[in-house]
Amino acid sequence: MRGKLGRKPLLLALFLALLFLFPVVYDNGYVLSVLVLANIYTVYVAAWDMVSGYTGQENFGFALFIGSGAYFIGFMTQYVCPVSPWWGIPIGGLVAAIIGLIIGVPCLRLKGPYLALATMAAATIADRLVIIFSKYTGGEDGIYGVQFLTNSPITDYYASLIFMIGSVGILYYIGQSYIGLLLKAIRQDENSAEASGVNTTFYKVAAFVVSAFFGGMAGAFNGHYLGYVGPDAVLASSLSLNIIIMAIVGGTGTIINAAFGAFVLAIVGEYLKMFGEYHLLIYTALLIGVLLFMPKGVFTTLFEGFSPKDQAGLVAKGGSSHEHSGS
Amino acid sequence: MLLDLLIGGSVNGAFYALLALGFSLMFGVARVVNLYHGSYYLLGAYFYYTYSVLAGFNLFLAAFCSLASVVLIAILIDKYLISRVRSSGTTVMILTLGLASFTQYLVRIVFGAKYLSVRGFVDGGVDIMGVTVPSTRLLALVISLVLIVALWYFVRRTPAGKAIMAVAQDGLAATYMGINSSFAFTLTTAISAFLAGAAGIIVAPFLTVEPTMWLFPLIKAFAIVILGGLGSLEGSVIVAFLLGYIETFVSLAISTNLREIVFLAIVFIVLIIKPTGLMGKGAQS
Repeated sequence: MRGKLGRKPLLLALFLALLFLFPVVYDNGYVLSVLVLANIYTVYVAAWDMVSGYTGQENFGFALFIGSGAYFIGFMTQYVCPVSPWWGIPIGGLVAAIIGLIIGVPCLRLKGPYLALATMAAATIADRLVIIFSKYTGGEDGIYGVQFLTNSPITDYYASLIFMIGSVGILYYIGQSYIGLLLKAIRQDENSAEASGVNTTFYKVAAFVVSAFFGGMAGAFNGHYLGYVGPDAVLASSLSLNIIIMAIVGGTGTIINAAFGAFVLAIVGEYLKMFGEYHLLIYTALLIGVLLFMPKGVFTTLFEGFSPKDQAGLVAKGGSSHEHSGS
Repeated sequence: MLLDLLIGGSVNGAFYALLALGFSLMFGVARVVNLYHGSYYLLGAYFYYTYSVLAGFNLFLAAFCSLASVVLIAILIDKYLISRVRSSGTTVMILTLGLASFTQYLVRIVFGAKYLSVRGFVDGGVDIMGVTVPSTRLLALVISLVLIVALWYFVRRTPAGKAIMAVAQDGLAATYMGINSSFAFTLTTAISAFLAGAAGIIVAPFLTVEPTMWLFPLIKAFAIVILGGLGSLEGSVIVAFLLGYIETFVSLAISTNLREIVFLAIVFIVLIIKPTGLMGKGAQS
């Protein structure tokens, strides 16, 4: 196992230590806010990867889950009572999980382009409903007055960091467990997995619900952080697209690589803003370049370079299945 | 009311059919879901604006040049970008979606985010049994119908068209019969870009020309093709008109706002009840 992972855990630990020490060394409000958003995006993408990367069933409307978590908090604040982040974030996750179950059960019979269309349609319906019923939802302007996460940028930063590490850690753990293995088996050949006695529908729906749960929590987290819930922040179709871009650039199917992709791209995307109106152009050009020249994703390609024993991913697959049969 | 519905629905339906046919052909022949399809439509409208308004060409010359430009861009993208990742359906979807966003941002930088207006080939209105229909819409209907029939004639009656359909049925067998499948891909790309570009030109005078105009037509074309059964041209045309009438009915009877929702809800429900589409023969994964 140590041979398989190579220097990866060490690098990861170093990286996380750096993130924890960062505000002590460099306490800058703007930089911290960029990092908080990067942490939130990391959770979005890791959650997306749970379904889409592992089972190969791309969700083109992930913003629906993020939005349902966030908007629930928004509606609670506006019509019932302000919710504290301690309650808001898990409740947002639960609401999204329920929506994930409702959407997931019928949708997961669909594959490839059919699933892409269905998820895209579901998310676009939600987005349009918010605009049409703007009297209740605030429309384009969204809902203000959501209770803030904490009172200072530094505590916000640490909250988001812990939230990110916890969420990605749990998702990674699920991915490494036998559940992840089953999901990968479904991606390889669903019929064979079914024939081997795996209840593929159950695992696909379960993965969908888990993915929705973390997406919803991160959406609610975003709402609490900004004190605001609006279509541009948590529901727009460009958000769904952005999540796919980040996951693909990082490399899908391992949680960690996609998460790295999100973290780095969220920061890159923010700093590209200095190019003004060109920033989205450069951003999409980056995606196109990665798709054409590193189809497995930047970090998957990089990490393969770090561990030379891992020849063409073959050893990794054999190794991980061995590891699971042993445990 | 009924006449409004009939005429408005036909115009919408013909426009959707024009968009969906190229998308369907592309999927049938090359087995790729080309999410850049909506951008052909956008490029058609923007090139038409460039040639007719900025360059001051005669309208017919402008239309011709726009179509040529769109087709050229489509062929270049297919040859140099899409062909590199064609083996993976998902990568093609994401690549083409990325390219579509890229085009949107490029267009926004070049032309600005504002709404542009272009002149139609004809002015005024035509009176049909008491209902005044703008001539541009009527012309859009006529041109769409002509193009749809021409496409049908092409794929069913001409050797090149039959070759394309042969590749769609079974690429390998078609290759054994001596059909050049990479030429079939190029030809299909050109046709689908031509149809979508033409749709952009004929509706540009009465719809908005702005950088995000590609998204909804793309979702609609995608939905129509899937509901009609992937790869079935007849199914696409029938569903396109059906949805054209339903949308017009909803916007006349209830509200224009709800039009898109009803459309998407139908898509979602049909997908869940009958995943292979209304006229699909069965999914082949």
